[in-house]
Amino acid sequence: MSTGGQPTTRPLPASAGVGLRLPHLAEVVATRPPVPWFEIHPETFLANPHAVELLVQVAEHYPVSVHTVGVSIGSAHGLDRDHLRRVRAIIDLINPSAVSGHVAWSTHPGEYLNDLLPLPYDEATVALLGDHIGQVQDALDRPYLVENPSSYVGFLGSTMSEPEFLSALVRRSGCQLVCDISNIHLSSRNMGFDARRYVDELPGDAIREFHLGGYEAEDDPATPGATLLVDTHGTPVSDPAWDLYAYAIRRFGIRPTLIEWDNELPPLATLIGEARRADRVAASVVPGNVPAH
Amino acid sequence: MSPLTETQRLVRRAVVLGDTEAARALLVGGEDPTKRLAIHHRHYRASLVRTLLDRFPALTWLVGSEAVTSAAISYVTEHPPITPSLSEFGQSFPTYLAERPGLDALGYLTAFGELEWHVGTVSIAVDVPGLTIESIVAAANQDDATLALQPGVRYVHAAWPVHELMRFFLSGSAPDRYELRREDAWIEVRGARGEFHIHSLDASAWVFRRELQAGKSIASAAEIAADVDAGFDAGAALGRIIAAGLVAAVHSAE
Repeated sequence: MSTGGQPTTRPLPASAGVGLRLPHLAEVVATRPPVPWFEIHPETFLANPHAVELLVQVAEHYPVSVHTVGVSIGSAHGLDRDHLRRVRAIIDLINPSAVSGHVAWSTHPGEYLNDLLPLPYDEATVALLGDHIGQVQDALDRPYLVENPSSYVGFLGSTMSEPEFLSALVRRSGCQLVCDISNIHLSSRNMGFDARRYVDELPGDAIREFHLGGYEAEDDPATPGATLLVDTHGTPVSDPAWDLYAYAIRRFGIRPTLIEWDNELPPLATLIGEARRADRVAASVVPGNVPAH
Repeated sequence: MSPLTETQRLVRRAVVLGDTEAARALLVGGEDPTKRLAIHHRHYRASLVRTLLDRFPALTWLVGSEAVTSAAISYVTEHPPITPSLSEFGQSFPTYLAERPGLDALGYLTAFGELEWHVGTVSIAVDVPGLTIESIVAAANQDDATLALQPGVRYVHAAWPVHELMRFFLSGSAPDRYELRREDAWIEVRGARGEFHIHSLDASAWVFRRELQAGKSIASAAEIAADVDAGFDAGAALGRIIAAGLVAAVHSAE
């Protein structure tokens, strides 16, 4: 079992950071806003040397978390070694504080489907992802955290719940988790489970980051009269997600928390405002802990 | 085929082609989960069409949003991305667009789209300080020395002066009517760090620079350029390249 090798140099602060997207990159380099850490998607830098040049400058001043969207650890056809080599090259340049990805799949032989697609939860999938996480950690030479997905559908063949699946994956691979609070809320509404009970069943010691992102409600195409929550990352964090975040902090303690906003990107100040709100929520749950900026 | 392999084959079919029915027996989620699976198809299509529209604003300006969007919808179905790096997606889209009924009469469309692709690529390149004549002479004292040009340089040969069309787009000053005459265009696109320039060269200078970029020695590139124009002056051409800061490195043969 591989648990990843190289220790990282700067741990992520236990406060709220911001997803750094290309439109904000030059602004961050020029103004160095008071943000405790940034998260990036390495895939947006792979063919963009100018952005990499700016990213290196960001990494000189901020801890950076690398959140992959194309590694596809759930692919039945194996990992894309070339993609891992390219991600490794970015990682070697900026020495991030954490590297993570998703419990999902997005590649089919010779194709990238540009989405995080669902997996059946059973022992075979645990074995596959466990094996792939080990391979990713070896290829990147550092631990690889995995994040719970947002769901619109599940599989009849699943034999375990999502928290059971994540726990089994942690036991098998030794990996650690990114706990996406908004995904839990969204999936609980879409799939009809209790979000707090889901949180209760997570292996809390394995959680290294919380994520918060926006979603949008629309008519459920599958059920007339019902509402479906769609994971757009294009709106502020919702009140139910903030409540669930407070609940998770009460249960597990404060962790580095990411504000994710990928579409309809607002000014950077809006993202920083959301991060400050996350810090205030954390401080309200754990009095005396006021993250510094 | 493992159960997961078969599941992913069916879900892939739903995501790329919109055929969700074959996955019906696998799914749970609402009264008709195939309609929820279609959300992934919608996202796949919308996000990649947006990627193409963002990458080809000049093509969209030239032939209209409706034509480009319609072609993009078909393109993303027939040509899924091959890597997770979406800035590499769509290089063949201009050719695909130019073959669409109604657009196939526009002989310059592929070249115009390829020029736009190169503009996008060089704009995010990173250049280095250009070498001086002294450092090049010191390093390139062998006949088979080669020059590495700046990373953000591309050479485009088109049968139409598509760079003129691009200038209209970039300046926002297109005339009401413009007759594009077929004539060879030897175009150099150069850029870095968010900026770019488009130059028209004469054929021999273009060939010389392109051959240097391809790794030919100075002597070989000059020979090839002289085949295009017997009066080609390699010394003067090399001087212009150096003065423009185009030479990033010199590689002497071992």
